[in-house]
This record gives sequence, C-alpha cells and structure tokens, in this order.
Amino acid sequence: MRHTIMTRTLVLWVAMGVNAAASAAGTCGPDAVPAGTTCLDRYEASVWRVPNPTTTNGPLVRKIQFGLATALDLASGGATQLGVGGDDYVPCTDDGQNCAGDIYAVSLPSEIPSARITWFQAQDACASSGKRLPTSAEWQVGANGTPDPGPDNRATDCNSAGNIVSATGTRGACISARGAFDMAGNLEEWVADWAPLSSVCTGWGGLSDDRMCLAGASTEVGGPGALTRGGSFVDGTGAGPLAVVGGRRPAVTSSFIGFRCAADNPGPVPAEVDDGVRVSRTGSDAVIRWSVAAGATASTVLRGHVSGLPVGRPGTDERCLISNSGADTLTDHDVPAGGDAFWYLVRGENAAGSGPYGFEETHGVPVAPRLSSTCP
Amino acid sequence: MKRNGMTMYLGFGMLMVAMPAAHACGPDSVAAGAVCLDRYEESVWRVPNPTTTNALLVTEIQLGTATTDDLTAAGATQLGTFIDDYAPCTANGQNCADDIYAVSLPAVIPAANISWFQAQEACANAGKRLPTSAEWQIGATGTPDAGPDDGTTDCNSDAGSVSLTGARENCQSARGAFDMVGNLDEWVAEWVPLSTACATWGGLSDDLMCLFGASTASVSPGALLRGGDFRSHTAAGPLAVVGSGGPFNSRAFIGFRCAR
Repeated sequence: MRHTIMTRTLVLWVAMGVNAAASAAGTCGPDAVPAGTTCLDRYEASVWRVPNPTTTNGPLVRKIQFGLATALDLASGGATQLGVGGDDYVPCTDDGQNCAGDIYAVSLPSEIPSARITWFQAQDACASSGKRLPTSAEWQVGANGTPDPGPDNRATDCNSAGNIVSATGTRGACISARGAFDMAGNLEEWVADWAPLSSVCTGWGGLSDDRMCLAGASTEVGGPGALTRGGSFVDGTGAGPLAVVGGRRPAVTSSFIGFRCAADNPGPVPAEVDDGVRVSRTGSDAVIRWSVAAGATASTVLRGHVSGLPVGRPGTDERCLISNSGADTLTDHDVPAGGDAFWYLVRGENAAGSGPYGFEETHGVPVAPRLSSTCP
Repeated sequence: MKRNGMTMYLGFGMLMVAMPAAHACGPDSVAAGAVCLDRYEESVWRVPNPTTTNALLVTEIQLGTATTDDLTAAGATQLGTFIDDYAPCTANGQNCADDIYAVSLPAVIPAANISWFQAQEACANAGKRLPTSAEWQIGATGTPDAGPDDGTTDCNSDAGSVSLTGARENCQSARGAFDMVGNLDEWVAEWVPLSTACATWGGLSDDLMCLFGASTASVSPGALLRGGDFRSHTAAGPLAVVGSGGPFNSRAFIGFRCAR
C-alpha cells in the first residue's frame, strides 16, 4: 500500500497508514471448508468414473480438481457414479490397482455418497481429484461442533439411525462449526491413519457415548487397521464427532463406509508491505527497495503515472515492473515526462495468492481498496 | 517530514514487522523439512471480537507476526498458565473455533492444562495444526539430551515447574526451535491404542519410551506426547515418546506447539 511518487527532480514518499488486513478466507475451493491448515471437503465423496479423462474430458477433470464440477457437468461428460448400489469399481481393484485416472472423488451436495469402497480405492479417488484422505486429526477439526447424535428425527438431524444412507447435506442440522456436513453418522469415513488392528471397543467412558474402538492390538495376520471416523447410519448414539474405529482392515468394504477428501489449505494471502518502500536516485535511474510483505514469498511491483491516478484507471499506461519475483529491489530506467511523476506500489505474493495494494484514503480514512489488473 | 535537498519524505501510519525477503516460514517458526515448526512452545490467548475489531490481530497471528504487546493491546488474555481456564472451549474441542489462539512467543509462560482437542483447535484458529511425531522429530534433532539441569541455560528437565519460552538458551535444536526437550510435554497429532507400559530404547538412549503395549480395557486411545517435561530428569530428550496419555488429559506439565 505504500504510495511512492517519483519525478525528475523530486522523490516523494507518501505512507498512507496500515489498515488493510489480508483475509484468510476464500483460499479453499467452493467444494471444501477451511479447517486449520486443511481444506476439508464439505460433503462425503461421490465417486465417478470419467471416460476419456485425458482427452475429451480433460476440462471436466480440471474442474473436478479445482472443486468446480457440478453433477450436471459430470452427467454432461458421460461420467457414471459408482459405489451406490453395489461394489462396481472394477477394473479399479480393492488394493488400489488400476484406479489412477479412472475414478474421481467429488464433493457434491444432494448426491448419494459412495460406499462399498476400500481405503486403497478411496485414497486413489482422492488422488485423481488432486486431493488426499485427511488424517484423523484433520478430520477432527472439521467435525467439531457437529451435534452429537441423540434420537434421529429422520429429517434434519445427523443420520445415525436411518439404516440407509442419506443424500449429502440433506440433514440440514448436521453441520460442523467449520461448515462440513454429515461428519457424524451417514457413512463412516476412512481417514489416512493406520494403526495396529484394534481388537475391542471400550467406549470413551463418561466423556462421550461415541464409539471408541481404537483399543487392543490384534496379533492375527491380515493387515493393520485403517481408521474410520464419525460412525454411520447404523450406530445410533454411538455415532458422533469422537467416534473412531481401528478394527477395519484397509481392504474391506461395507455399505456403511465411505470417505471424504482433503487438500492442503494454502493459508492466508500476504499482508500489505510495510513502510520500508523507498526510492532513491542513481543518475536518471530510480532504485526502488522494499521489505517483502509479511507472509509473502515473492513480490510484485506496479508502476503508474500520477497524472493517471487513481490506481487501476484504464488507459493510463500502468506497467507491471516485476511479477512474483524474489527480489526486494529493482532499478527503473524510465523517466517520467516533464510535469508528470511515477508512483510505485508493491504487493506480496504467496501460494495462496496476492496480497493487497492497500486502500485509497481521504483525510487518512481508507475508502476503497486499490485495485489494478495490470499485474497478473 | 524532513527536507533533504531535492528529496522530501512524508510518512504517516504505523510500522509493521518486516519479514526477511523470500523466507518461507513466518518469524515465529523454524523451517524443519517440509514444515514450519513453531519456534516456541505455544501460549494460548483468548482474543475478543476476532472477526470484527480484532480481525487484523487474528491475521497477524496467522502470519506469525503478532507480538505480546499486540495481544495485550487488543485485550487478549492468556490462558492455561496456572489452571484449566479454557471454558467455554471444552476439553473435547467444542466451542473453541474463533475463540482461543495459539501463538509462538518468546519469554512467556507456555500454555499447559490443555487437552489434545483444545490444543488442536488453538492451532487451527491460528491457521496451523499439530505436527506429526515425525515432523516434531525433525524439529527436535540436535537439542542437547537432558543431563543434569543447571537451572539456567540447560533444557528444563528438573526444575519441577515450567520455564518461560526460550529462556533456557542452550535448549535449542539444530533447526532453531527452543524447549523441544523438557519444559512441557508436547502433544503431537497421532493417536494410538493407549500404551500400557514404558520400555526402554535399549542402549540407544535413556529417553522415555512409553509407546508400548496396547490397552484392551482403556476407555480412551492414546495421543502421543514428545520430549518429556520439567519433571522427567534425564529421561527427557529428543527421543522421549509417551503413548499412555488420552487426548482428554489436561495436566500442568503438558503443552504443545503448532506447525504449518
């Protein structure tokens, strides 16, 4: 937000006050909710077989990966939903072979979420969609705040006693503090963690009536346990945000086990740059120096004419001097026309996006964000 | 404003802390492999009005630039230093979103008396998470193993009470994190079947190795603790691991640090 003006004879720094905060919101796709450092899918996954994913349906796959694909998009692309009426994932096998580029997990409202899927297949369906299974810890942050199931009213409460799966998000009160649906009940959900195969359910004691089946350690052959969370439509009050089961081997399938995916949350975009923006003269060159914005890994520098203010006015010959650069200094060889001056604005960049250019102010009061599309 | 030949400076407004150029981790953390691990054991703060008047403070917390002065000026109050005062944020992690915030600060009492659920929520509100045990290990490596505690610069393994974060200056890891050994036991992300016993590391180390056995009767899984605490004597150390604490446990010797 530093506003720095350069003429042939005058260098003027106008520091206009720090007042714009970077927003942490909006860095997850529309199909997910932010939960700490994770973007957790808002809905239990429906799994789709997408024909021709690298050719005619390449654009559809990209929409899936950005979290933008709708049920209509999938139907238009000839995709078919799997794991609804039976175990129909072949040629994708229970151990996760032949699944890459075949089955895609999508977080959609009002769909029957896919079940009858192994941990290996679920993980592959997430991966093809550019995601992964959440860890149990990540799942927990996404689940907290979901009402613990009591009697299921079969309409708005979490589906803990319906004995059949509900369409995603249709149980309107079954939403977590961070906005994810069906974390308790409906389908049990695979998470990433493996543990020694649990041999007993002990309960949480007085702390909760949710299922606690992560206890004991089987000494039998046959594989470890892959954790499931949340309970399902058959668990009654044993479903809930603390429900955990460690007794399911990762290659088993069930009509009450599904999953949801997660991705890394890129976090907040950078803050504004600080008061460290400086311009000095070297001959006829202007040398701009700045401190890289807090939270930024790179910087972008925008230049314009004072005669063209406000920032972002069309047709005023703004220039993007550097974009997404690791530099904290640059030399501008251009000289403004007589009677005019250059201004420079610096913004931070990181994996989540671009920081702000700051605000236009009137008498020290911020009135509108500075916006310019000159720099990408 | 000053005049200096042909140059004029006009400056209003306040300074913000600048980050080093192109540094991937915030100033509150150290780079440890693929993660940024917080430099200090967390202090936990209740921030009033986090979405309105204190939204900028919350952003600074999430960027790792908030200071103790920033927090105090905004009316934030520090929790968990003497008692379990996290309510309405409950031991099972309910009512914690946008309420309690973990901050990696030097020279403060780190938060204890906190459950795994609450710790995880405090990290999440700060845009972070609990590290996995493997990530914690990378951050701890190089910390001197606890021997006799000199009470001033060595890792706090024998004081019987908690030290201020970073005050034990020799207690620093190869990657720059403080107090990974001793001071407070630290929650990490993993759950396991509740451990029933402590074994040893054999000749490898004298550090705690209490990730052993699997309860068939416990009403709770175990959430892993790392590093030992101010009562562990020489059993504190970079290999110390305990799987016998349930995630609801809240103790004066258990704290945490976050990662992103």
